[in-house]
Amino acid sequence: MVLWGWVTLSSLLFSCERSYPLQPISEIPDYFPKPFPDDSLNKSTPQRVLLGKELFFETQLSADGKVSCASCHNPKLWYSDKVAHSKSAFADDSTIRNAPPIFNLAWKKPFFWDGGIKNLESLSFAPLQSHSEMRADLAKQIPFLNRKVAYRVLARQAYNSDTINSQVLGRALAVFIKSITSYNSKWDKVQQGKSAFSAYELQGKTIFERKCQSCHKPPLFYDNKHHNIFLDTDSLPKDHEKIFYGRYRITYNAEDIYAYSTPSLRNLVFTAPYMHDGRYKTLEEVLTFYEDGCRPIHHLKSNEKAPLLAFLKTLTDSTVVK
Amino acid sequence: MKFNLKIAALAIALSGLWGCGKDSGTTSNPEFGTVKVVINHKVNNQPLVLSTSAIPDSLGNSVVPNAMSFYLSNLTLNGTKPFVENLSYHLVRVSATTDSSVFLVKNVPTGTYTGLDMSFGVDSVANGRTDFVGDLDISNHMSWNWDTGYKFLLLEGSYVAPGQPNQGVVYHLGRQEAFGKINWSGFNGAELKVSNEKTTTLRLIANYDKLFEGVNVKTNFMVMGPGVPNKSVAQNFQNKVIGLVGVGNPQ
Repeated sequence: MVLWGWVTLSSLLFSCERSYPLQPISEIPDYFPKPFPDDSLNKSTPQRVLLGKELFFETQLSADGKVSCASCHNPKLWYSDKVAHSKSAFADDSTIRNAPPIFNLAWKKPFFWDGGIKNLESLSFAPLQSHSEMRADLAKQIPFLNRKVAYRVLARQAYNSDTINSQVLGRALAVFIKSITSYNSKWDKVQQGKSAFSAYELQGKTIFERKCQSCHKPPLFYDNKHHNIFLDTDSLPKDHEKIFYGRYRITYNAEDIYAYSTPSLRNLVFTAPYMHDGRYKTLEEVLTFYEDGCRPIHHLKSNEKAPLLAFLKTLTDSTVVK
Repeated sequence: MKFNLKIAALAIALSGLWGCGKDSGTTSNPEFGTVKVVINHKVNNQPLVLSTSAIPDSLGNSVVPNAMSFYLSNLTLNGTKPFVENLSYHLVRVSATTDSSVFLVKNVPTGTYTGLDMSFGVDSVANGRTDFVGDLDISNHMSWNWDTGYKFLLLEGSYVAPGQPNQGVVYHLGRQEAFGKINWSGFNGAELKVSNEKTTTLRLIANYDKLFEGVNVKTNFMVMGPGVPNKSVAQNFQNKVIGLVGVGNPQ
């Protein structure tokens, strides 16, 4: 028994070499608001972050054993995946919406483009179970995890549980996701008095403050609200449980038709494609959309786009990339 | 700060703690007993048989369910000293092989009870998250993973109308507008007695004849969100489907 334990443990340990410098949430800059408090049932601890990290990279949580959370939220790609629609397990389906980068979610609520997820602890079950994503049958996938001694050890350490179960799974992933932060951009350095904007960036900053920041509020550059920016104006199909109707499918409030969550603009340059469905491949396309004067939103002038883009580039935080 | 699975697991392994799950034994306590709740599923005075039985709708046509489940929760036994069940969420599944469902209410203080309160669905506290185990475990496929909350009642099947091709039917009732209280002030003239020696049986009936009363399933064949069909079917379940048969006290 002991020998079996060592053999299993050793084989698992050798396959788990992953370095990940976690940024303690206590080190957030003083110009950030306080994050939402930890869930009373799921306080953040180093052990829980560690377990969540391992589960985040675990491909055996998908139906074909090839897709993990990190497949679409790749730390090397600013926790996104550079495609408009991510491929599912077995690569025979794909998402309808774009996988957003997932940093600074400790300040966010609710979650998903339509705000349908009320808390981080419930968030992961959607991509895990969705046919167009990991397609996991938790009743099958979770017992598989529990065959690994190290997972049982970590479950014991983190949650005083003898095994991984769906509760441990959801909560550990929540704590890990909450630990992913971004606050080391040039914009942050300027706030800390360690750098200064160029004249051109300052010009862009002025434009940003007049035309963008009412929704993309610094320092997080989102507002935890949903807005219809008139991307979708035609009658769209009601299939896929009204997924094309934005927040309306959650609230059934007519004002929420085609309204989507405001994305953060941090690391924007590296998180293409853009919008809830990834329809725009470049930032130039996005800014051109805002240039169109036909929609009742803030309009950009042609000569404002370049300085604005220069300012947006100051939101890049290279330390996020692992 | 840097965490590493290798170090963490190795440390625990060295301390001899791997895989050493202990079974927490239970001891019989003379002050507590168990109530077995038995629910018989019927339609047209016959046992409900999945994929066969026909539940009428308001147009006189019918719904043949292939799958059916619902939540009963927040069970309270009333009496001189009421008993409020802790973490009281019971998933009731209609089985393909038997016309009854059973769940146990454990650790009920011995004594006599005169009435029962419970709820249809899941209360707003538990309905605000899905990271639970047991009957609320998300792997039971009774929750929406894209719109946090539970399906209080799941019915999937076919709509059958003469001269028309069968139509798929999906009723996933939920949200707080579908949540409701169920109350019986007595047990059909009897009292429910809980003993520590034998299990007491509480018999309920789910008679689905009026589940779709006032609901046009032909035009509302897919109900997965708020609205009149969601509320109406939920209220029908609370007021016209679920009923009390009686108690089987220990002899």
